This record gives sequence, structure tokens and C-alpha cells, in this order.
Amino acid sequence: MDEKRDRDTFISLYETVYQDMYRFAFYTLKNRQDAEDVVQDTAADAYSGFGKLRELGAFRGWIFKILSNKCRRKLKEYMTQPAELLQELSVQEDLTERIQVRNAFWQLSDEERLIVSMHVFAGYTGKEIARILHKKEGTVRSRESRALKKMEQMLEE
Amino acid sequence: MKDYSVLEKIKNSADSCEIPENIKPENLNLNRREEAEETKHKKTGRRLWQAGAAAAALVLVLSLSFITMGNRNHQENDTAVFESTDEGGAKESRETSLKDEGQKELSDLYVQAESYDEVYERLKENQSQAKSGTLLDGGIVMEEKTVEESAAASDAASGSAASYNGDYSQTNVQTEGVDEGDVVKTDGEYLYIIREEQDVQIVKIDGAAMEETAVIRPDANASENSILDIYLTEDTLQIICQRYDAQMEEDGEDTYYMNYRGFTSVYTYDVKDRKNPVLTGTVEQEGTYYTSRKSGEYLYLFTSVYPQESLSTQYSVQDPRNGIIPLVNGEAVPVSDIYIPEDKGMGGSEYMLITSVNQETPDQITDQKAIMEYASRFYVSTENIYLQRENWDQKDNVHTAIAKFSFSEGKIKGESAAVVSGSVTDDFASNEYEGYLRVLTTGWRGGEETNSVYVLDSDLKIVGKIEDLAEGESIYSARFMGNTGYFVTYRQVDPLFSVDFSDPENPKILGELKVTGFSQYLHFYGENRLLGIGWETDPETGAYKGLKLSMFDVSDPSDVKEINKLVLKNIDYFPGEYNYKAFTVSPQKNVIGFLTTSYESSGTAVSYMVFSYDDENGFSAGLAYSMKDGGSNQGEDTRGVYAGSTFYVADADCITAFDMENGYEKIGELEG
Repeated sequence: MDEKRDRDTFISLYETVYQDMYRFAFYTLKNRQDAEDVVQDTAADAYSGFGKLRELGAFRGWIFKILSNKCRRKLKEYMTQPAELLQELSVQEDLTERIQVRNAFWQLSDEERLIVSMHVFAGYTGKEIARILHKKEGTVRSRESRALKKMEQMLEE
Repeated sequence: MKDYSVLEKIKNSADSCEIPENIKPENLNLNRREEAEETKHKKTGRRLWQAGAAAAALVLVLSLSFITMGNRNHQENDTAVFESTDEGGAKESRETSLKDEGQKELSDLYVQAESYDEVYERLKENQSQAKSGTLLDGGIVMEEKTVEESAAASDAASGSAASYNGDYSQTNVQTEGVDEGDVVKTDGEYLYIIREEQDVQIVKIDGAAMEETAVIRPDANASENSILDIYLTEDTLQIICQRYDAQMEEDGEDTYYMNYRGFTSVYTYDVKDRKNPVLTGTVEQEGTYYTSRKSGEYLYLFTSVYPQESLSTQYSVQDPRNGIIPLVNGEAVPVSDIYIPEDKGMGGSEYMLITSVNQETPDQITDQKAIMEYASRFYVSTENIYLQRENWDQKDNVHTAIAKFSFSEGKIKGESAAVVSGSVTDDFASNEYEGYLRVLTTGWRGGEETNSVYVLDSDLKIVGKIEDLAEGESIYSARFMGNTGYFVTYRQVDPLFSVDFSDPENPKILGELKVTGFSQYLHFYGENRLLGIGWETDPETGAYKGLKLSMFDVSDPSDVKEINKLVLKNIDYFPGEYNYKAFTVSPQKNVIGFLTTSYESSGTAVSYMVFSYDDENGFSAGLAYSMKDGGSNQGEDTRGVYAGSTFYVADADCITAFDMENGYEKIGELEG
């Protein structure tokens, strides 16, 4: 592939995933700017490694894998930055259901958010999540089910 | 299903997210990156991770020998220590005291429950608190994440202690003398391998010759049982399994939902005859597997128990069917073994359940403790379990409450407690030596990170500390050797410097050395050498350039030098980054073994690498073996093991043997 076509192909594939990528990052990181940066970064990384992607059908799984690991690193950085972490958690009162769901989601732990995001936005199966996060499948399954249960409780209010 | 509807709600709630203009396809700017890449990374042909912020590292070398100074210097800071004997005022001062550092009674953190009803009531309160979602939650829950993630650093003693009893490798552990379960074990003559979480394969190994002698499936319903870790102690093999009991529960008209209760079991086998393993006993406790340790004949098992939400009026609280009180071997934990948080609202709505079992009486639990607490970070030394829980206050100050439980001959006993400022950002940032607990913390002050070193005596009295270290940075990895501690911190620019604290009142920076990149894992490598494994970064852009091996000369802790380094390009990840058990490091054998992965279009390319090291030639690659089909579970469950002069790369799919004395020539293979 020549460069122009390479780029066009990349962009057309990116177009199919970038919204979910952003939602994934925003929901996981709870910070708009960081979410944007992380998606930018992922896109640049993916583009530079794009030549190696022979099977275009694998694009989604591949780019989300890069994104997942980037978000994970970012979360680790947050560990020591409580101020930033809590920034977007400010509780608003009159909430639409969507905002309620989002706020409930943001009550989950870092790991829980990451796992649920990987399921909901990236579309990974439990086994795939376990592989990418290098955890046991049973652990991923139980973390997710516990996270959803917590959310249920919160939303029942 | 309820779960499904929550997932849908999450998805729907995100639909309205406003997508930033900058990342829309038409605006996406790849050029900037392309240019940067052409100029900076022409040779690599491919840029690896680009960190958002310039990443760098700094190693602090702290000589801790002095720190056993008296408490007098810190009286001022400790004034708020909870000493009130006035019961009326106790509640208030206690609440504040937990936010102030200093020695505490264990009962300031946790009290033994007096009745099952009290446990239940507390659980309900905590659950409803969780519902209203206090801001505190984020901070507290977060802790658990890093327990598994931060394989970054390490305990010093075990460093020198890649020590092996025979001429074979052992699981890389946190604390020398305290064994940890893993997916592959060896005793030099046999390999024991967990396969697909379903069975354990025993293989006789003798150089290139490999022969399966037995396969163990813990029970007939193995498909519901996941095998997560194994232990081998001479002729005793212990298998840790987890399963879920699903119960359908009615939830209003025509609505049911599945309630999952996790259970974790230990199956103990006598494997004296490796062809005929004999099951000698089983214990089971409620909860999902968290971790475990083994010391002597005792296995200590940690599970997280999430109680059922509703109290069924049909059964009493402690009735096993009710799901309120955690079960051990089918029975509710005795009330006297349940600890509930003293400070209302600080506790979790779940339990950490700790039990011990002697391998000689494998049907019985020796002791048990259930602590109503989020699964926290904890550190296990040879004698004590330290539970650590972060507390955030409204001003974003963070403190860490430490609760100490001793263990001896299977007995688990609550001992003492303390609160220190900051959070412990790494499992290995805690270390016990000669009765003293050393803890490294990263706090947050005035918008900047700040780090502290604490030394606590056996009663958890703070006897020494250093504050305000490395502002604007956080501790990234650590390793202790006797009275010396080494720390890698992380920040925008990249000096590596050493700090001398031998005069406790006048800590001094002794030297400063520029080193690019940062270590995520540290391991002592023979006399006066410290091995760092991490990432090389571009000092200007912070871009990740590859996996980096560094060797530091620590013969003079005040003048640490990086004497050799090697950068491996085109690597995106290495499992050791989050799991120290994935490393096989032995200075005696001169082996540095680990797995690397690269994201390729066709999937993840996984290679097993073995390096050797000498000062003159630096790091030399012994083995670079591309795993077939990316290895088992993408290499996550692959381990390098040596026995005599043979190196085995082993996982569920395949065992491959290499001759270490002949350039790691491949000499044998056994398909799983």
C-alpha cells in the first residue's frame, strides 16, 4: 500500500471506532482532557504500527488493546493524584438518568471501570479482557459482576 | 437479566457524550507524530509507546540504618494521637485520629463483633453508604487494583534471595521464606503445570527427556472449578480452585436474577508417587480468590466475600443460606473471629476472609479471621500480615491505616495498628526487617506529590521518618536490602540521585546521575549489583523507546552508577510489568528470564528471553524464543524454569527444553 492509501484506510477504520474509543477513555478515566489525549496517542501509535496490520478485520480489537493499556497506565498515574481524580466527581443534583448512570459508573473502582468499559465499549469478551489485562478469567468475571451489582444498588435509589 | 440491563444503561448513557473535535477523523493530526517519528526514530522504524508526559526516573538510595531514632522528634506531629479515655469524647477524637499519623490500637481500626446481628446491621449501613456513593469510595476501592498490578518493585531480601535450595528455580516471591502460588512449579525433577485452569499436569524432566506421569483434576465438576494457583512443598501438592454457585432469585413479577456466590477451595494431594497422586483433604471457604501465602506447613488463603444484599427472613443471619456471614467449610465464621471497622462509614460492604490450613490436616481450618473491609493492599512478611487501607479526607489528604495481624503455626492474631501520611503506591514499598516495618508513601500536598519514609517498631509505633522527599514525584518501584532501601520515582525530568540519611536530622543528597527511562522492577543481582527492568524513554519527549535492562553498581549506596544497559526495541509489554512471578532471575545461575509481547496485526507476538550478565560484556542474550501461537494465555501463564543445566519454557500448551551449556540450543519438546 502506498502512503496515501495507507492513511486513507487507517482513517476509514478509525472512523468506525473513534467514538467508542473516546467513550471508553472518558468513562474509564473520568477526565475529558486525558481521554482526548489518550485517544490521540492511541491513534498515533496505531497509525505508526499500522503497516503491520495485515488483517483489517482485526483493527478494532487491536486498537482497543492499545487503548486499554494506555488507560491502565494512566490510571496508575492517577494513584498519586487524588485531586485530579476527584475533580469530575462533583455531585450535581437534578440529574437526568444518563448522568445518574454515569455518576454511578464513576463510583466504581478504577479496575472495575476498566473491565466494564472493555466489555461495553470495546466489545471484548470476558476471556479477551482477562488476556489483555493479564488476569484470570474468573477474576475478571467476578469483578465485573460485582461492579454491575454495585451499580444496580446505586441506581435503585 | 439485570446485569444486561445495567450494561445497556451504561452504553446508552455514553451515547450523549460530546466527542472532542480534535479526535474526529477529519481533524485527527497524525502528521505531528509522523514528523517526530521520522526524525527521532528512523532507525527503529516504529515508535513504541509515547507517554503523554515526559517520563523519567530517579532512584533514591536511602540508608535507613539510622531511622530507629526516638519518637521525641515527632511529638509535635503526633499530638492528635488518640489517647482519650473519656468515652464520651472518644468517638470524635477517634475520627480525627485516624486522619493523623501515629501509633493506634488495633481496636481503633477494627473491633471484634459482639453478635451476628451487629455484623448484619453494620453491613447494611455500609451498603447503603455505598449506594449514596461518598467521594471516599474512589480512594478506598482503588487500593485493590495495584495489588495485582504493581509488580513493579520488590522486597529486598528476596532479591539476594533468588536464592535456591537446589539447582532449580523457584517462584519469584515478595518475601524470602514465604512461598507464593503460581501456575508452574518445579522441584528440579518434575514440572507441575496448571492447564487451562482445568487440570494440573505432572511431568518428569531430565534434561531433554520429558514424560507426563499424571494429570490431576480436582473433582468431577472440574469444568465449574477454575484452578488458579498451585503450591508444592516436597511431596505435597496443593491446588487452589475457585467456583461460583449460581442461585436464581425471584425479584418481583416474572423477574429473576442470578446471584453468584464465589467459593475457593484448597485440594491437598500426596504426590510421593508422582504417578499416583492421592487426595488427602479439602477445605473450602466463601469468596473469590484474592491471594495466598505458604509458610512452613501452613497455607494462608485470602478471599474477598461479597455478602448477599437482602436478609431473608426465613433464616437467621448466620444461617449459611442467608449469605450474610461468610462461610468456612460450610459454617458461618464464629462471631469472635469477625472484625468490623470501628469507625462507622469507613468500612466496606464486603469481607476479607483469611484462613489457615495445615497440609498435614488438610480437611481442617486451623484459624480464620473475617475483616469487614475492602480488599486492601497488604504486605506479608515472614511473621505478619499488614493490611493497608487508604483514607481520603475532604481536602484530598490521604492517609494509610495499617493493621497488623501476626501469624504463627497457623494462628492469626490481631496485633496493633498505625496511621501514616500518604498512600503506599506499591506492594513492595513495605518491608519488615528485624522487627521494624519500613513503609514508603506518596502523599499530596499543595498540588504536588511528596514522599515519606516511615519506620515503625513491632508495636507499630512510628520511631523514625523522613518527609518531603522528591516533591512532584511518586514512588514507582522499590527494593530493600537490610538497612538500605532503593527507590525509583517518576517525574518529568530524569535525574537519578542518591540520598544519604545516616545523620537522621540532616538527610543529604549525595549525588545526582542522569539516567534515561525508569525501572518498574528491581532485583538484587549478586554482590553490589541491582538489576532494573523497565522502559527506556526519550528524555525530551518522554516517548517509550523500548524495554530497558539496567545494571546499577550499588557498592557505594551514596554513589550509585548505572554501569550497563540494554534496550530492546519493538516490545509493547512484558507480563512482569504487572506480575513479578513472571520473572525468573537468578544471579547464581546468571539467568534473567522474562517474556515479552508485541502487538502485531496477526495477534500478539510473544517471545521468551533469557539474558546473562557480566560487568565486562554487559547483558548478553542467551535465548530469544518465539512462542508458538503466542504462548498459553498470550504468555501470561508461561514460565521459565531451570533444573540443572536445562532451561524449560513451560505452559499449558507446550514444554520446551533448552541446553543452557550449549547456547540455549533447543533439545526437546513436549506438547501439552
